[in-house]
Amino acid sequence: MRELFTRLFLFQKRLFKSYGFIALFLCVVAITVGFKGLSSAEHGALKISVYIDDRADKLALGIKDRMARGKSLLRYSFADSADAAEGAVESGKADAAWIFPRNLAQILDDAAAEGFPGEAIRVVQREETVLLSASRNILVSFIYPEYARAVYEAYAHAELGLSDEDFALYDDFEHMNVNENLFEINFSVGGSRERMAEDINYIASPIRGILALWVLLCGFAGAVYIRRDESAGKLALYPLTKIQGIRAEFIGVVVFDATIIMGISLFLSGIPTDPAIDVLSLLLYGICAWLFTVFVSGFFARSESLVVFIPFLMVASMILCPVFIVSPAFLEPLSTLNPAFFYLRCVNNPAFIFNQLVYIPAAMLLIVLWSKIIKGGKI
Amino acid sequence: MNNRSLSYLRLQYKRAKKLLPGILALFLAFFAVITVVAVVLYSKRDEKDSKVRYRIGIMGETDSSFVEFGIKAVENLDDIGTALEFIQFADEKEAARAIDDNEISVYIFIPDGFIDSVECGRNDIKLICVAHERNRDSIQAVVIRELLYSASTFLTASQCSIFSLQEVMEKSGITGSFWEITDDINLRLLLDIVSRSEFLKVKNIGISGAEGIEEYYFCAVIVIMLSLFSLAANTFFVKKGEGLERQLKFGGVGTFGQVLTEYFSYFCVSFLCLLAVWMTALAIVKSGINKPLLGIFPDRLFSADFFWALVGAVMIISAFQFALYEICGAGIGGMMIQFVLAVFTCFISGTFYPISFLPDIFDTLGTFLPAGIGMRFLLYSGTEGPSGLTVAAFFGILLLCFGASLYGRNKHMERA
Repeated sequence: MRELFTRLFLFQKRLFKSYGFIALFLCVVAITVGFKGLSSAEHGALKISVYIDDRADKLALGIKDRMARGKSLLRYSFADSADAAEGAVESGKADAAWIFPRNLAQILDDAAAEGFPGEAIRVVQREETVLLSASRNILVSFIYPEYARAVYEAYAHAELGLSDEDFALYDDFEHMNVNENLFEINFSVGGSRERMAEDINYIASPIRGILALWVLLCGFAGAVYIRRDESAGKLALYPLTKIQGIRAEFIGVVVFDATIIMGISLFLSGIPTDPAIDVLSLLLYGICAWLFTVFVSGFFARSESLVVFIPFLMVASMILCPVFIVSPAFLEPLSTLNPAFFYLRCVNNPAFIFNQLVYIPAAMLLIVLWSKIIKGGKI
Repeated sequence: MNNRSLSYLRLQYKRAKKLLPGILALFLAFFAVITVVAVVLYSKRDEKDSKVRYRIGIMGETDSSFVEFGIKAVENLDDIGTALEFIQFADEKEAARAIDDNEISVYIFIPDGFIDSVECGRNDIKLICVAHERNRDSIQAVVIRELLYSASTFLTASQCSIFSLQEVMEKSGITGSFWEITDDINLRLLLDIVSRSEFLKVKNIGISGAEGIEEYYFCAVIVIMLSLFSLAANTFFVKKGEGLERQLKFGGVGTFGQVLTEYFSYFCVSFLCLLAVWMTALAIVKSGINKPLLGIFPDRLFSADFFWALVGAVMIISAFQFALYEICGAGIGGMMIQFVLAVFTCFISGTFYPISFLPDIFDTLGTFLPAGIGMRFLLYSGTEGPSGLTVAAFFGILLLCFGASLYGRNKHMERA
C-alpha cells in the first residue's frame, strides 16, 4: 500500500512540477467562469425588430415596457421606422419585424365592436418556422388583454345599453382579481417533481457537460502520456504484469486532478444546484470516468491509435450524452456506456446516482475480464 | 523554399500517407454513423403529419365539454400555426412512458375541480404541465413555457372580460338574459382566440436565412470535427521535443520551413478526409438511392462555392489548432487546453446552437474566432457569402496563427 501511495505521489509531483501544467488547469477554470459570465448576457431564440408608430399611444408604450422588462424566447430591438424594422429582417439582423399601427387601442375597440380590423399589426418575417409561429402567439398575448377589455365594453354598450358614465361607476375590469397563471410546469418524468425555474439559461447549461467530457479527455490524455513513457522505456524497471496497474494508477491521478478542477470550475461559475448531490455525483463520476478511460484505452495497442480515436469519441459523446442536445431515445442504450450520460442525468434526477453506483462494479468486472483475456501481453 | 525544406515536405508527405488510411476510415465510419442516425430521425419526422410540431398528452378531468371543445378548437380551428395535436391518456404512467419514448413533448394533467375553479374565476387549481427532466434546460422548455404563458393570458383575460360583464349585469339588475349574454361573450372570446391571427397581417419575404436546419448541422459537424481533430494531430508530430526541430534547423530546414511543411501536411490530411466525406455524400445523393438524404444534403452543399468554403474553413481551423499545438505541446496539458478551447470557441461561434440563439457578444466574438469564420464560410457559401469583415478576419487570424506557430517553434528549439 505504501508503495502505491508513493507512486501516486510521484505521479502527482511529476504532473505538477511544470508551472505550465498548473497554468493550463487555471486556464480551464478561467475559461469556464468567463464563459458563464458571457452567457448571462441577454439572449433569446429569435430577434424581433419592433416599430411603434405612435409614441404617445399608451397601450403600445405599455407593451414596449413589457417587452423590455420580460425575459423570454424573444429578444427585442426597437426600430425608428417601419422601413428600418423591415430592413432589419431583410438584412438578417432580425428574424421578424413587428410593426404596430397608429391608435392601436382604437383599432382594438373597433375590432371588438365591429369585427376584426382591416389594419392590424404587421408582421414581416424571413420564412415561417415553428419558433416564429410561437412568437406570434406571444405578440397576440400582448394585445389580447386590452382586446378582451374592449369586448367587455362593447357588450356593455350594445347588449346592456350602458353609457360611458355607467362605465365610470361599474368599470371593474381593472379590479377583477383573477390569478393570471393557470399552469404549473414540472419536470417529473424521469426525475423528482420540481417546479420549472423561471429563468432557464440554455447557454450556460452545457458547461457542466463540456467539463464532464473534458475529464474523460484528461483520462485519455493520461493514457497516451503513460504509454509514451512506456515506449521510451521509463517503466522498464517494473515487471510486465504490473504495467497495466501502473497505467491505471497514472490515469487515475490525472482524472482525480481533472475532477477537482471541474468541481472548482462549477463552484466558481455558480452552476451547482444541490451541493450534496453535486459533490457525490461528481465524486462517483470521477471514478466512473477513470474506469471508462482505463477500459477503452486498453483496446489500443499503440498510443498513436488511441490519439486518433479520441476526437471521434469526444464528438460521439457530445451526441450521445445530454450536453447540447437530447439524443434520440433509440440511441440511449449506447449512451449508457458513457459515464458522462449518468452524471449529466444526475443533475436533474438524483436517482441516477444509483446507476453510477452500478456502473462502477460493472466497469471493474469488464476491466478484470479484459485483462484476463490479454493476460501478460501488451495491450 | 530550399531543397532541404522540400525533402522535409516529402518526409511529411510519407508520414501523412502512412496515417491517412486509418484516419480516413475513422472519418468515413463516423460520418456514416451520423448520417444513418440523421436519416432515421428524418424518416421518422417525414412519416408524421408534417404540420404537427408538438404532440401534447392530456389526462385527468378530460370528460368535460369545456375541455373537449377547447381541444377541438385548438386542433382544428387554431389558425396561427402552432400546430398542436392532443393525445388523451388514461393514466399517468402511460403518459410518462410516451414522454420517455419522445412520442409526446409534454402532457397536461387536468386536476379534479379545475374546470369549476376556472368557471368560478378562483383559478386556485392549476393545470400541471409535465415534461421530462432531460429537457429542463432546453430551448424546447423555453418554447413550451412561453406557449403556456400565452395560453394562460388568453384564458385569464377572457375570464376578466366575462366576470366584469357579469358584475356589471348584477349591478345593473339584469337577470333575465344573464346566462344568455354570458354564453354569448364566452363563445365570442373563444372564437376570437382561435382566430387570433386576424390581429396580424403576416408577410413572409421568402429569404430563408442562410441555411436549413439540416445544412446547419452538416456544417456544424464539419467544424466541430475539424476543431477536435487537432487532438489527433499528435500522431504527426509525435517525435517533437526530442531535438528534432533543432536538428532540422542545422540541416537547413528553418523554423518557417518546418512550420509551413508540417502545417501543409496537417491541412492536407484534414482536407482529404473531409473531401472524402463530401464526395461520398455527393455520390449517394446524386445516385438518388435514399430520399431522406436529399433533404439532409441539399444541392447548395455540393456546389463549387461550398468546395472553396470548405478549403477556407479547413485552412483557418487547422492553422488555429496547429498554433495551439505548437504553443501548448502534445502533453496532457496541451490536449486539455486544446479540447477546452476547441469546444468553447465552437460554442461561441454558433456551432452547437445557431448564432441567433446566443447573445450578441458571441456573434461579435465569433467573427474573429477560427471556428466562427469557418462556420460563416460554410453557411453563407453560395448565398450571400461571408461578410467583408469575416474575410478580413480570416487573413488576419491566419497570419496570427502562423506567427504564433513560429514563436512556439522557436521557443521549443530554445528549450531543446
